[in-house]
Amino acid sequence: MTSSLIIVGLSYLGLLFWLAYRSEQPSSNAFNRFLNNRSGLLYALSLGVYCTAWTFYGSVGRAAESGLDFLAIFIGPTIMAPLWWILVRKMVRITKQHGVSTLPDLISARYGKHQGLGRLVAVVLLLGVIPYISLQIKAISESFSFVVKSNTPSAWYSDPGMYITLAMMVFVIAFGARYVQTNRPKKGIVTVVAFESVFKLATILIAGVYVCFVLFPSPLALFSEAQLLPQFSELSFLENGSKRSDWFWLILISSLAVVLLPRQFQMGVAENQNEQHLKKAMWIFPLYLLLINVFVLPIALAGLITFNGDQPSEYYLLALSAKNGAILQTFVFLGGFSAATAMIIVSALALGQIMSNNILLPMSINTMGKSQLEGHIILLRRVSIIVVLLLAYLYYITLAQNESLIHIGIISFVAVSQLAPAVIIGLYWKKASLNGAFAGILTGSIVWFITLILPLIIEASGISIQWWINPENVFALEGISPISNSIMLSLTANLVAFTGFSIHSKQDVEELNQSELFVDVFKYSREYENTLYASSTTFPNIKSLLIKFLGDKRTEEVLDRYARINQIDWKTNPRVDSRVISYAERLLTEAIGPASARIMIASVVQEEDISINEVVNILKESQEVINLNKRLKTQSQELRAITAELQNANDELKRVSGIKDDFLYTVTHELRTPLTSIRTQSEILLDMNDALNENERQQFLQTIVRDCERLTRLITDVLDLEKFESGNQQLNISSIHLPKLIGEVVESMENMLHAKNITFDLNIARNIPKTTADRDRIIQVITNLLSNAIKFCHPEKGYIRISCYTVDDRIKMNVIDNGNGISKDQVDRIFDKFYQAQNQLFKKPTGTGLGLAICKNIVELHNGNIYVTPEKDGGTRFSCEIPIIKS
Amino acid sequence: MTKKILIVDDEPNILMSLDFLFKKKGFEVFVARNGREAMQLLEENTPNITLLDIMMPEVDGYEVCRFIRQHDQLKHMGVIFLSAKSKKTDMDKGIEAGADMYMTKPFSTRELVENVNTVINQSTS
Repeated sequence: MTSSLIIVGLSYLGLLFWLAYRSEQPSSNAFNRFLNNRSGLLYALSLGVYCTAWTFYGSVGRAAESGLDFLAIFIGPTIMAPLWWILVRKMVRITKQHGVSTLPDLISARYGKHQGLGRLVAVVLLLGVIPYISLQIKAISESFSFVVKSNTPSAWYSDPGMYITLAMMVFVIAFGARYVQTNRPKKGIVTVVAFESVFKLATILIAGVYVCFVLFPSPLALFSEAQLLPQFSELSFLENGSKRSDWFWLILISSLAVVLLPRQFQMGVAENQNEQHLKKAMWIFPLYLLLINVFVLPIALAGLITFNGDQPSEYYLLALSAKNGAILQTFVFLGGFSAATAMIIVSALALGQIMSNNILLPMSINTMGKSQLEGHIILLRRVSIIVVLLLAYLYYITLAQNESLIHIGIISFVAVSQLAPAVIIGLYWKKASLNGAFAGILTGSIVWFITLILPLIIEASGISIQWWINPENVFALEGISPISNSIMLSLTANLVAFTGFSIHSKQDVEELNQSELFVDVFKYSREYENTLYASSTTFPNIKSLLIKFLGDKRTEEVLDRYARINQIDWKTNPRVDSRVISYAERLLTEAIGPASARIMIASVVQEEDISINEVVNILKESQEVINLNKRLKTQSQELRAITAELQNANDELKRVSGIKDDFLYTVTHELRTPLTSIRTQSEILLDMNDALNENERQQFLQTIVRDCERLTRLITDVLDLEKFESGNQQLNISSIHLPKLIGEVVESMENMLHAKNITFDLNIARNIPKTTADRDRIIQVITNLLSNAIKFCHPEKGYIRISCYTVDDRIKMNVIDNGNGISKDQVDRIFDKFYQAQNQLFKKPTGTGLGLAICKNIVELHNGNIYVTPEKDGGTRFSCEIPIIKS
Repeated sequence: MTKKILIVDDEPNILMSLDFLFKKKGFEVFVARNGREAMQLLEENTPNITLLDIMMPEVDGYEVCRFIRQHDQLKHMGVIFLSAKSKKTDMDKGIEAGADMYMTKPFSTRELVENVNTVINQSTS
């Protein structure tokens, strides 16, 4: 059993190496294409590194002891997931823009690239997370012993823990520390982690199905059997007060840890290649958590029923799967193995970078020679990875033996949570200062150490002390578990110190700059970021510095690219400006972190004194340039639109002015006609007075007078129409009763009707309401329509009918005659100015040709409409509708 | 021999007064109130001169003028446009159509009579 398990474990490790190797190959074979097309899914799955052996084994143990408690640390991340789009996206954007890839780098960059702060954060993370790695080693080792049924490994060389540690070292060094830039995508590791996420989920689901449906007839049967257990009533389902506060605090810190844990930050922020992938992760990750937890409680209950305390509850899953045989049990063992190795790989990778960038590199950077440092940096990182794993292993063989998986996990969560105020608040609050961050993290971590770590050390050392010096009790509040107590105390102290010091301390230039760039990261575009240094240096200086850290080849590459893009010739222009310096600093940050990069740059750059006001001005300026660009863009679009509009307006003006010209021309033409008549007749009267008899003289004089009247009418009408068309005509509104007005008009024109012997009908409906309108204008319309009808009705048997009634909310009036009717062409144009005047076969000298045009204007100004239709039996019907408006 | 004159205008008052004027001047006067009527009278009576309004419904003055210039019997007769159209382009169009003269309304009757006589003399000589 032992040897076959070792072979299986080694094969699994071999598979991981193969997978990582294959996915890092640059070739575009089917395998790589498959992975590339699913980079969003891989990203989401790689976040599953959150579920470690703690989830795989510990949750069952916790569930067996206290019911649903285990769920708290999964509920926190689930609740937080929707906020990732706001928080994690901002972190991603910042890390990409500033070239940082670990949490200490991010924090130190945010607070003015301060080396000390980065070191403090690094220490907190190392202290908090290394024990957590130990637990994974412990889980592998214990599960191995459990499967091969040897109680404790007799000697160090027979403990798989050591071999796993060594294998992991090789793996992480091979795939995680190959290049000097820390932010270079690690496809191999992401692929392996995603694969392990799928693998552990698959094993726990298969084992769960086996337990629920094979070992027991159904989940229901399992639960009803479990209810008979004596322990069942003790399992917590939220009824206990102190447990309830535990829930709150666990949900809180787990929601923070899911973003801030080094392995989560590595996978979720540093390895994010596309912000859009977050959207996918935001639903896949919670779903993943749900699936992986679905069988935890049934397995715990099944374990309780089956073993009744004979087996350690954490390994119920292994014990239960053994009932099916060695294959299922081995499979489950590999599931736990994958959960543990994924965590170890990513954590060691992240902590290795953290340790080398923030602790080892700053110590050695100034003592190192001036030559090539690229290899040295990679070496330091490898050493760090080895140290981290070695420390984890040491912790495992010394302190970790007594601790349950879940307890150390939570201790680690609490440690990581101490960074939350400085990171999260620092991303949204510009006043958050270096001193605040220092004070907050330090205070919180000290409280964490006293309340959670010291008791462990005391316990492990076996010293018995008075209860009142026992740190676990010193700060303890009654009715709250030590964990909740510690979380509450440490986070409160942290927050108070952080905000207090931030408010009361002054930020220096660098801090101010960075807080501006971080908080408003979405505002600053790449081109203008960091253009802060009022400083300069020569190109060879910058180049030699870069070569030192990046190597010849890459330095050549990046500088060439930069020169190409920005069209700079280094040979003719050896002085470099602040933008080149910022660019170089970013490149260095990728390799050695922001704080060290800042120091290295400072060593080759002659900095000029720069005041805070200048910094703010420079930032504002770059912001203004961006805004200006945006404005220019929109303005040029607007200009285009305006040009098009102007073109249209011009065309319209041309058209209108054409109409106006035509109108004026027509008007003068119409004026010339009566004038001609008048002049001709006057001249005849003058020149041929002798040849005229009295009758003829009278006739001429009468015609002259009539033509004068016609001229006057014409002028009046033209002015009238002009008023309407220019919009200057005001209506003189009063309450009117249309039938009454019709009556008045008919009465005034009775003589003309009689004179032409016209039959006249008046059909007025009853109950026509009053409305408001311009009385005189409406009379003008009625008069015009009626006089037209009189003019155009049948010359001998003339017939005219006026009807008036309401249609919905309008009053309609029709004037119908039995004249020659109206053609299609006339229907369309009869309301045009001078239409009649130009198109009548035999002119009626009384008309001006403007009457109907004026009527149309009047009616439309009343929001009504006027139109003409031919009558069936010849004749014409003019209809006019105006809305009823109550006064 | 009495000269024959055709006066074409859709404006009754003008027609009436010119009719009177030229009768008194010793002309045999024909009047038409539109282009169609005018063409008919032209063919029936072959007058010596025609006074043509331009803006008339259906068949306008230009068309009547062109009709005259293309007509074998009529083409040498005098044509004077009497029009309220006062634009240069209108006048050019009138001359192009073949008129001997273009007078803008309102015109002087004395001038009109003089022009009529001039045109008649030109066309007969």
